Amino acid sequence: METLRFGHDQPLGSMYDAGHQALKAAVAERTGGKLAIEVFPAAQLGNEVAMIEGMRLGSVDGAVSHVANAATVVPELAFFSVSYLFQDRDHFERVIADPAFRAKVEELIASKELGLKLLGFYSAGVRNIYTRRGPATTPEELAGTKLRVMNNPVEAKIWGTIGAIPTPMNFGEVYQALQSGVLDAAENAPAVIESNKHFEAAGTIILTEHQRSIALLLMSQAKFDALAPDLQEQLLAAASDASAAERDRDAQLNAEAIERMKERGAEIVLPDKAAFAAKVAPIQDEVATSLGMEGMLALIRSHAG
Amino acid sequence: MGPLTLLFATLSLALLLGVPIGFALLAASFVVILYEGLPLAVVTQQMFNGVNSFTLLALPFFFLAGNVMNAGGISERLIKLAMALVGHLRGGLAHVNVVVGMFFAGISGSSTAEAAGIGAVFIPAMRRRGYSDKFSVSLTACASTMGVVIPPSILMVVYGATGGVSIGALFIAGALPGIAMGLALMAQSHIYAVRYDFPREHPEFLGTRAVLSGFKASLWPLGVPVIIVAGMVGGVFTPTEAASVAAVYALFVTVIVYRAVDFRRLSEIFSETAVQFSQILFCVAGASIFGWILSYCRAPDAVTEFILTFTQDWRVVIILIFLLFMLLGTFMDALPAILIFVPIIQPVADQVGIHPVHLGVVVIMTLALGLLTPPYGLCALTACSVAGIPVTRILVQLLVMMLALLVVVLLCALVPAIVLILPQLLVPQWI
Amino acid sequence: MDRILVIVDQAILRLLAVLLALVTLGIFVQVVLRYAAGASFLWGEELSVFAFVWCIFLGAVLNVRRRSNFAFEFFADLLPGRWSAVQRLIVDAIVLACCLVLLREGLAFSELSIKRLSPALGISLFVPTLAIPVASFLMILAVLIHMARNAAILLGREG
Ligand code: NA
Ligand code: NA
Repeated sequence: METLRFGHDQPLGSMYDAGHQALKAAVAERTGGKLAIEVFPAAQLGNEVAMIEGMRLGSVDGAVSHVANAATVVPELAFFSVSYLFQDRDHFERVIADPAFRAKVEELIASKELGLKLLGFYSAGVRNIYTRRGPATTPEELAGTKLRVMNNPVEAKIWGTIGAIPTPMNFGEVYQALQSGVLDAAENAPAVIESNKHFEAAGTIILTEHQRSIALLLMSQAKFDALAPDLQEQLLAAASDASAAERDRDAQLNAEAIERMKERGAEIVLPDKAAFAAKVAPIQDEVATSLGMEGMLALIRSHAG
Repeated sequence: MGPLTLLFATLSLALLLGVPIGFALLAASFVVILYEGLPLAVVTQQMFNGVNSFTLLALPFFFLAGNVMNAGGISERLIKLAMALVGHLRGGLAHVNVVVGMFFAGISGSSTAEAAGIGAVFIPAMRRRGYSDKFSVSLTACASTMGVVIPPSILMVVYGATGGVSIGALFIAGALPGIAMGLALMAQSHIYAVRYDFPREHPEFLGTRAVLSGFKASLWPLGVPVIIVAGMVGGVFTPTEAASVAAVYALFVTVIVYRAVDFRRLSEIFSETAVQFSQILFCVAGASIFGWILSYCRAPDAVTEFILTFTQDWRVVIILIFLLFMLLGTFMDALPAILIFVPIIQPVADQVGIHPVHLGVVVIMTLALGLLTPPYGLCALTACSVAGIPVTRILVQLLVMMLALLVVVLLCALVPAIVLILPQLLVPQWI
Repeated sequence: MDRILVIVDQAILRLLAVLLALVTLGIFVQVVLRYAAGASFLWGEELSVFAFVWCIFLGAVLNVRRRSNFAFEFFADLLPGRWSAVQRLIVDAIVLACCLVLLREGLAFSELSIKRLSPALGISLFVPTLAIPVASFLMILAVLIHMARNAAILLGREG
């Protein structure tokens, strides 16, 4: 029996954990126990960038990586950091189900000759703004807000366009910065806002739903190639089931997180999403052009409702 | 032999031989990597990732600020103020060391930075007043552990993020136990002072004029904590930024205001500061790969399984967790210990009804003790490196002095109210 | 020979001073610009962290040169003079072995990082990761010098 070590960097019980556990069960069932998946949660094998390196070095067999982290080796993937690519979950699912989409992503990864094999698409939440400055429903009302962004020029540009002051900051310092007012606001997925208690410091959650995060379920190409053809096929089928299960669980966990934060005093605001999306639309084209992702943008837009 | 046995056997052997800690951690990792047929490149990858870290940047800044302030003769100024305040007590300087340690803990998030900052000021001063290096280095090391317990604390931020615990509640919950640690150290200093007849700096209290004059002399240096406290509370800086501003401010005071060092000396201070903190951070790099091997070998799961088959009583579980983190803190850095073990220990604690905030503070206090225990005791090592003496020379004294802290930690572990009362009163919605 | 060593040590010390100045400036300028200019300064943190990584590994080289890396020397200190030279030789051999692996694997890791660009500065991660192989190369030289000296002591006493 062969064992593959799969890592993720989220806690036990998180959406990634659910996905990997589903993968473990599906692989065991489909291969009749000939192949086993061992799950390493909570960044035990390193953070996402380190696990990508690990798959290339041979110390990690498989891992899930948010597109923003995968962009460190496949820069084009930074395109998915652009806001409002997807209207809603249905749009997101339609794109992921399109074989042309998968083929494009596989082609991008293959073009970099990294030795990484794409197994499936996880979801890493829907990102929303949360602020200590009270409700805002339009981009204009966010003008001058010091908003934490990741160290990423695309996001800085988007939030600058929306009117906020993009402030890059290390994630570990965000809580204290929100509490003390170094930051007015930050943006993240509800499950992350809840588990890091950021809503204690910035209690107004504006459901901007500006980014549906794709995470790539990846594997070392060498390890994949070393598997017998029937095992490869069974693994791919299992990964497809596990990814779908992960995306369902992710949606469920985020909805629950919003409910719990509401119960504990957070204010939930429904903004004018169309106003935000309109501001960002030109940047979508601009970024797509600069990264050579015009085809991808067209494909995503073709699935819009 | 299993890979974990091999790992610890190699590490122990290398350490006993006197191999530097960073290299011993590497050597043990190499052996297991070869044994498991893993690629060796994972070593450089983990070493690089371990120190390629924004959080750790506060460390060089506090080192730099301490060294620059010391070169500017600022320690003498602070001591003058301290003398005027409590110099008339028996063992006055020891008490001042602890009180200033508590104060520093309130502004610094890292105990190692505190050991460096306070040590650079107090160890030379206590040496000049005739205290033994053994005593002053041990006291400084012990006092510096308050740095991660009294808020703000980098470890608490990491813990809260890892374990999904309210960071605000952890901060508030850490205050009381942290102050208790300081009081325990002062009580112990008093016992030493009586037993060994430590000097009073002067026969009686010098009066308010002396205090005011001491305060005036320390006005510029006291700007450092003011910058940090006001900067962070007022929302001007994050902790790492505050540390860098403090370092630049220390440079400004020493070079421009006091004109105490010239460019050549300044360049020397910068060089030697880098050599000094690289002693610690090279160990951190080694601990990163070592920690990776531990989780690769599933050490966390084995531990959890062991605890749950052993008992269901929360008191026994928290003592076992205390013992576990004591062991971890002995061999590895607090950061990877939290990152690797907290997510796995927490379900166990949950199952027996330990409050996550209580668990968090106890784990951080235990890891703070681990900062003292050799071989991997960064606070002890830092204080020793500031004093320029080997850690073996203070070992016995250090372990004796640790007993006071140990009592506080165990008290907090077994009486959750000490930890939980402040957050329950002040921020009930967070816990 | 000794003169060359002094020059190399001095060069590393100078470099460390410059690097630490960069570490400090990166973060400090980030703060100043945020308040003075209201500007987002994306690369201050990266500059600081990269200079910091180089500081750590180059500083470790000098700690090997000076034998000032943290070690647990309780038992080693109990050894009598000649055995102490033997102990040092064994320790140095282990450190040497570690450094040889670090050199080889450090180069491999740097090579792997060439195409990875840092998000803000856009420079190749080859630059910060190169600190490990460069430092291990310098450590190898330092350890070989230690070993030659200890071997001389040992042979001198035996002969
Ligand atoms: Na603190
Ligand atoms: Na320790």
